[in-house]
Amino acid sequence: MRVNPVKNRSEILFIYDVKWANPNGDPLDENRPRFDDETSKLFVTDVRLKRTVRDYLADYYNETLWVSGEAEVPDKRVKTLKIENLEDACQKCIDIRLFGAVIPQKKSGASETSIVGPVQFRYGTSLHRVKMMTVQGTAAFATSSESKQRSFREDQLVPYALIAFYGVVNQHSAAVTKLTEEDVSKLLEGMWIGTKNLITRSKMEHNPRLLMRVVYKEGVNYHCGELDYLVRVLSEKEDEELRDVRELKLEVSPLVSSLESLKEKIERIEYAIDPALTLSVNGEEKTFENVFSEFPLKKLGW
Amino acid sequence: MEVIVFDVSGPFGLFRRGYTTTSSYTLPFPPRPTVLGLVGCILGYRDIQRLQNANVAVQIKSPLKFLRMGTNFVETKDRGSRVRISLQLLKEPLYRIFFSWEDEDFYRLENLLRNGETIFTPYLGVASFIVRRIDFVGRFKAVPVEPPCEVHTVARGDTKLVPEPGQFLVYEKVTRQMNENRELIESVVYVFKKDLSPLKVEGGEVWKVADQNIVWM
Repeated sequence: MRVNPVKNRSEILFIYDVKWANPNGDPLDENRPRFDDETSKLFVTDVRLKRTVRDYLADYYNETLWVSGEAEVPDKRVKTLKIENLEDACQKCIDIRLFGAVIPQKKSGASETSIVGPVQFRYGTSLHRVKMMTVQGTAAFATSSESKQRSFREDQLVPYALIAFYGVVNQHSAAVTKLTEEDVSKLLEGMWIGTKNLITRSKMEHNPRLLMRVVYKEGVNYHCGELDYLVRVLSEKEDEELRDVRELKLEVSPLVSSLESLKEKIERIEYAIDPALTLSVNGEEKTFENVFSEFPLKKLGW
Repeated sequence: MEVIVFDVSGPFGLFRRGYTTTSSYTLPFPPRPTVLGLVGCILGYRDIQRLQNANVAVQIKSPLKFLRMGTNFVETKDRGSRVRISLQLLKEPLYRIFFSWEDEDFYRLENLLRNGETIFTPYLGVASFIVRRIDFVGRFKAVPVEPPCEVHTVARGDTKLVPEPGQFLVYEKVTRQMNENRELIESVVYVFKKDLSPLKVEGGEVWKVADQNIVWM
């Protein structure tokens, strides 16, 4: 299984959008979408993205997960999975190889129980100001057989948001968890298809739009660090009025110039792009292949 | 004394308080072990033991802005539920780090910083708060300064300050040293001005690095 260990540093930029949904509710804020009042930008935790990936890996690849999604005590989880030590935990669980874990063991310190994940994601942030909405509905059932009245339900949602996630894959941490290129391929697939598959009521209409993995050459200990800061939304509409990906262009000229300045360090760019998303360089519409023509490209297909 | 100076920034930061397990208020600046961890991460160390004899000073360079956010934590005791914590995060933090160390890897660190390289992925307090940029400022010779003078970094709380009208001081009790099991060994109170302007001090050990005066944490 472990045939192709990760040997290169890589960076991930993942852009998806949501319509009339709650991309990531805050349990301590009446489950409203996570929101920064100062900038009117929406954000989504790394945990939400990892959940999407984990669920996909479990459902479609039948992978064993350390963080199953059920509220389980770590001690019990260790017993259920018959985990003997950290090495064994890495071998058994793909999510530990990817994201790391803390596996509490009695009488051991923090350094013996935690595994740093080679793949780390920042919080995702909307690339534009977002309008927040409260929509009321009627509950389906009455509270008791006698009562005829049903209660109201409130949904907190956003009409539209284009969200960018940034992540790094570190080859040195990958050597510790024995992460393979196959694992990373599954991660990317989980991000793309898993996001499409979010079809609970609060997560309807999630669509992946752009996924880029910038793979650096072997031996390079450099990464750009801010791919998500190098793209922005261009539109004739006000940010809050955006309702569809076809109403905007993604301006990528700062990203292109940054990556071109790193050209000697970069081995290839893996990518997937949704045809509905328009890229532009200094306002001029271009295809992904055109924009990044200076790099060896590898199209991801599932 | 040779000092390496670099700036570090990110979209978010969270620096936990060492003296309590329940508060999720972030500290406004990274404690000394966090800075050592960051340097260790750049150098590729898996712990910070080798760095314990290094000197660190921190200057807060961006206005302090915070964000509150609810998070589900895993319950590690057998109650079968999640713990909901309201976390306070720093928004768009930017710090200038002053770092001095008598070790051969000091110059390897300088090289890594000059080339923008890091061995592990650097972050600000929590793994998901990946650093956005690390900018190398330079390597300088530090010379001692006799107070009274201004200080641009966070200073120890027992430093004798020149009284100034209308100054708002922030005192924070911060972890200074941890052992290899990440247990608290020593805390120190540090002080800075809320408007982030330089502190005027009357005593203490102050070093001048380029055009800034620093106090080791």
